[in-house]
This record gives sequence, structure tokens and C-alpha cells, in this order.
Amino acid sequence: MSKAFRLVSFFVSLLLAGTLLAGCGTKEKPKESGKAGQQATEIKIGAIHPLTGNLAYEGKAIRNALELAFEEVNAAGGIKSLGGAKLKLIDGDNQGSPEKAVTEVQRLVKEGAVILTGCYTSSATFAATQEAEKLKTPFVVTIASAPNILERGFKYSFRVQPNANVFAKNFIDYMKELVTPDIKTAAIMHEDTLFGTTFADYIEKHIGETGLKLVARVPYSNQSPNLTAEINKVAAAKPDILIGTGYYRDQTLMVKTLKEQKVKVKAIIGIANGAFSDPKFIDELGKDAEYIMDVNYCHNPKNSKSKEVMEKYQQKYGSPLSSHAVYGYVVGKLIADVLERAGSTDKEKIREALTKTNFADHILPNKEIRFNEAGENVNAAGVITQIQNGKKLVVYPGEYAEAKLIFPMPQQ
Amino acid sequence: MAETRTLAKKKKRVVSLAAALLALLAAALLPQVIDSYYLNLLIITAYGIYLAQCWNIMSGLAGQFSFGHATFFGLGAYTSSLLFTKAGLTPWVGMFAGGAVAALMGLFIGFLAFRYQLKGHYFALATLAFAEILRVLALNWRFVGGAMGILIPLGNKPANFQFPETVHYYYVILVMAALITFLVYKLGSSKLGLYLVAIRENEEAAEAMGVNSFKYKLIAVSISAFLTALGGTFYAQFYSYLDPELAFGTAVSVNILTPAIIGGVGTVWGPVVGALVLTPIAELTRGLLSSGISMIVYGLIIIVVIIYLPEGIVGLLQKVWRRRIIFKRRTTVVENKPGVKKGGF
Repeated sequence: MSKAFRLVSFFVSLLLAGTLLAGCGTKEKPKESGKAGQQATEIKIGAIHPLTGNLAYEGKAIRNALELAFEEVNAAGGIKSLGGAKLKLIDGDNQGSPEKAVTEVQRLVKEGAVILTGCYTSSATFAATQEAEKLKTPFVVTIASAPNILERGFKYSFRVQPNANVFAKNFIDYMKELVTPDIKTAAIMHEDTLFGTTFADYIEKHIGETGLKLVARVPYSNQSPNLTAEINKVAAAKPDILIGTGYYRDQTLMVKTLKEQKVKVKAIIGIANGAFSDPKFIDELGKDAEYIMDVNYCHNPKNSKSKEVMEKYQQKYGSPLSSHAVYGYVVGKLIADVLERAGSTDKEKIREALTKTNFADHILPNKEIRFNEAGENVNAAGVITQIQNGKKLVVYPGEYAEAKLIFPMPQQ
Repeated sequence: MAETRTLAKKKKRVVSLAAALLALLAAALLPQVIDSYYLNLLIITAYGIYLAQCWNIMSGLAGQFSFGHATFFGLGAYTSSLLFTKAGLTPWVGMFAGGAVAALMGLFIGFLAFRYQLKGHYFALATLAFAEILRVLALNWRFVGGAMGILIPLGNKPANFQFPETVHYYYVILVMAALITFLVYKLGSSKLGLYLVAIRENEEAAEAMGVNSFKYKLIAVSISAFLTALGGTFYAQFYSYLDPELAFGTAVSVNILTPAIIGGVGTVWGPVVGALVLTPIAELTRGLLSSGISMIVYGLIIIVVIIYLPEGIVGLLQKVWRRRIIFKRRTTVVENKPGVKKGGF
């Protein structure tokens, strides 16, 4: 390494340090001025999602949807009960880790956030809600499905989305109504971390209620490059329906392998499936994706507002609004409603208003949002979607359905 | 002449000890004047110092590079948490049970690895493999919570290692970090420490001098494992949630060793300096720059440090210090026998 090179890189690192410090200076200032006149002008809402790392894509989408909701609120005149105050999103990046989530909760509250939202992964949400509780700051979960996040008696945490148990219960309830006499057995293939295991445990325990018999339970690692052995296990059990829970890559691989091995089942149903509700899945599998069902959250296709939001999102961010991001949007609108009712940026009053939520002006296929003692949305529920002619459509329950359910699927 | 030198040395030692005590006192008083955001950063820093120092004993002092300290960390966290949630045993006791389990594991890994002469990268890979095995085990073993992990019931009884105020956690980890730094300092001048350094520098030579390298390496591993496990218990109690990835994941191992490497492997103050430098950098870059760029800048800074300071920050300081002394000696007319050059320690 030449001396000149060393010198140059020394200066580069000096510059880097310089920019850091400079950034430090400029950041400091608005904080001071914000304190003086914060009441009327701006309300800060913290969003803590994975913005870097392998979950960044979804984290960003949820964050963008929140931003979109805030922009709509601001364009419509802000929070009227607070003199037209504008909502301002401040970003936190938890990089998918609990430690970072805690640090970000601290930082955002310090920067003046009165409500926090997050965190996409359950492990980060555990830590973040706990920290928010300590700081007495309301926390609205955008996405995190582990049921026990809200089983710890927290006063400041709220969740709009159905938790894992609700999804699994929805699945059981829907199957009770849908199962016909010629469908007798089921197999479940699930990825083996928290996400997939939670569902599988619930299904194993309750599937008897639907009249179905579980003939195989096949866990796999979501890192595994090949699922042939697992599919063979499923094939050997000859189930009528195959239940799948997992993430995008592994569940896509599961369906691909199933089709390659020509294993015939009467239906493939996902529960909160990372693949079956993703538009990419249809692109990747084409005809093989047809008739695949998923019990998942989704926007309400019967609500004309949904289409409008989806178009706006597509236009602004250049990608379709994913079903996770729908909750970012809904949480954003909910926060506006809560602040409107609270008429204050006092965190206690905001919490008070959150507990009294009765919010129906959303784009979910659910009734109004109301929170129970624990902070769970009592009307949270998933719907069944099905891929028909290359489109993911809501097919069940009837009041939200945009197409008729095809079950069992026609055998090619 | 020799007397004055030892006297000067003694004086220097007293001064540096006083400085360390003052720094500790300052650290203890800091929470009085800062808000909870900085308090949280202080906790992360002290926690980083503690774990890096644990790693430093085995990998810095004894030179047995571990890339799988998550093994010990996770065993500690899991043992104390399981004892707490399933048997109601206070983590104050559970942490030592965890330490014992981790130390046994350390002995086991060490025995296998050293018996079959695994060294350097191969030893590092073996430690990594053990962490992975434990991660997969924890993931699939229902009794320990499987993928669900362990959610520690919240409480605020100090007897259960749960405190009403965050600042109490800070004092706990600060004391742990101070004690272990003192331990590493003491170890450096002890017989055991000298044996370990000898093994690190040249194992064959050390053996030839009659040092039982197998035994002393095992001792280093088990001490390091025991102490790392205590850090695991702290993590579990502080964050109240534990899952296989958080306990045994590769990220854990990497986070344990980074401060030591940046600060200076095998030095007393390396892990301390490393953690003190790394935490603010990570925070500043994340808070000030947009998310993607912050990681790039953070990474760049680490790369620059590794390229230009292969012996870490403390290594650089020592070099500068030594040069100054040599320079001084050259300029003074009195030429004494040059003092024994201080080693990496």
C-alpha cells in the first residue's frame, strides 16, 4: 500500500467523521425549536421496522404505507382538534433485532414521538413494546403475530392485526363450514421457527373439530435448499388437503416440489402464508399457483376506498401494496383518528383515546376496530383468498368475497 | 538504578489504577445527569465491554480464537431462564448454574478440539459448529420452548434479577464489566496469564519450557465460558425474551468479538475502548443517516480500522507510546540497557 493511498484514505475517513459530526449539529437544532411550538404544528409518530437486512423489503413497505396514510391526513387538513397539526413520521430501523428495537424506542421517544408503531418481527416487538411500556408511550403494533406479545398485561400496547391464534382459529372455523364428506384428511408442512410452529401447534390441537384427521406433520427449515424428502413424507400420508405455513421462498419451493413430484391433493391452503398471498408467487408459478388458498389478512375488496389506496401506493412507491403494508396504512389512519379524539399530544390522553377506539373507516375486511383489555382488536380476522386466473381474490367469508370459492380444486 | 525504575513503575501503576477508578466513578455517576436514551446506550456499551472481555480471556490472552461464543452465552441465558420460569429459581443463582453448564460445555469443546490438535481457523470453525448445533437443538426441543423461545414474566423484584428502574440494570452490568476488566488486568501479570500468553505466542516453545498447554488452554476456555454465560443471563433478564436465534445465532458470536477486535485483541483495555467506540458509531450512523447508508458507513469505519489498525486501537496507542519512549531515549545522552520490551500485554 503506497503512502499516497494511505494519505487519501486517511482523509476520506476524516471526511466521513466530519459529515457525521456535521449531521450531528444539524439534527440537534430542529429538536430545540420543535419543543417550543410543537403543539400546533407537528405531531411526531415513530415507526420502528427493519429497514436494512433481509427483512428490509417488507419493513419498508409497511413504513411507506404509514407515510401514505399520514400524507392523506395532512392533505385533508391535519388533526383538526389540534389546530390542524400535521403528522410527521420519524423512522427507526430495528434491523430485525430486539436490542436495536429497544434503542430505537428510546431514541424516537427522545426525539419527541408520542406514539410508536412496529416492528414486523415478533422478537423485536416483544422488546419494543416492553420498552414503550416503561416509557409510558402508546405503541400500536403494525405487524407481529405472536399472541403472547399482548399477554403481559401491558397498558400501552395495541394490535390491529389478527394474531397467530386468531388466524389459526379462523382456519379451523372456516374449515368447519367448508369441509365436505369426501375430504377427510389433512397434512401440514410448516417452517420450524416461531412463525410456522405456532400455527402448526394450534392446528394439530384443534383440527379434530373440523372433522378432518391430521395424517402428517412435516416441519422443515426455511433455509433448506430442497424439500423433496419432506414432500415424499406428505405423499406417503396421502392427505386430501395440504396445509402450508412458512415464508415466501420455502413455501414456493414446497408447491414447486409438490407439482414436480405430481403429488395430487384436493386443496392447498396456507395460513398467514408468506408466499400464497404474495403477487410474486403468481408470477413465479403461473398455472401451478391456480386454486391455492390462503387464510390471511388482506384489504377489503368490497370497499371502494381500497382500490384508491392501492393505486395511490403503486403510483408513489412503484410496487403493489402488500397485505402487510395494508396494516401500515390502517394503523396510520387509526392514529389520526385517535389523535383527533384525544385532542392532545399528552401520551396518557392518547392512550385513553386508544382504549376507546371504535374505528370503522378502514380498508380491512373486518368490522370496526375496537380494543379489548389486553389491547387486541376484538374484530380482527383473516379471510380466505384464492388464486383464480392469475389473480389473488378474496373468496370467503361471503360478505367480503369478490369471487366464488372453488374447493376442492379441479383435478387437471 | 534498578530500584528507581521499579519505583517509577509502581508510581505509574498507582496512577493508572487511580485513573481507572476515576473513570469507573464517572461512569457510575453518569446516570444522574443523562436521560434514559443515553442510559440505554451506556448499558449496551457496558454489556459490550463485559462480553468482549470474556472473549478476550480465551481468544485474546490464550489465543484460542472462538467464533462461537454464542454457545456459552446461550447456555447461560437458557439455563437461568429455564430455572427461573420452570422452577422459580432466582436468576441470581441460576446464572451460576448457567455458568457451570457453559464451563462444562467449554471443557467438552476444548477437550475435543485440543485433543485432536485443532488450531486457528479450524478451532474457530469448531466453536461455530457447536453454536449452530445448540441453536438447532433449542429450535426443535419443545421443553426449552422450541421456536417460541422463552418469555420471562415481568416483575420488579431485585431478588429475581428484575429491577423497577433501568438504571439498576446499568449498575449491575457496570460492576460486571469493571470486575472482569480488573480480572483480565490481574490475569495478565499472574502466572496463569503468563502461561496463556506463552501458549499463544509459541505453543511448542511453551511446552518445551514445561507449560502444560492442554491444561491451561482448557482452563482459559472454561473461565471464558463461565463468565460469558453470566452475560447471557443478564441479556435474558434485561430484555425478558429469548429465542434460539437470539441466544445461539451467529450474530451473537460476532457481536461479542467485534469490540475486542476493534479495540485490540489480548489487551486489557482493548474491549473497553472497542465498545466505547463502536456503540456511539452504530448509534450515530443509524440516527443521523438514512437506513441503508448508515450500515455502509458503519461497515466502512470498521474496514478502515481493520486495515490500518490490525492490532486495534489500543495496539496503535501502544505503538505510538513506544515510539515516543524510544525517541526520548535516543535524544537523551544516558544510554542504559534498553528495558525489556513489553509484550502485547
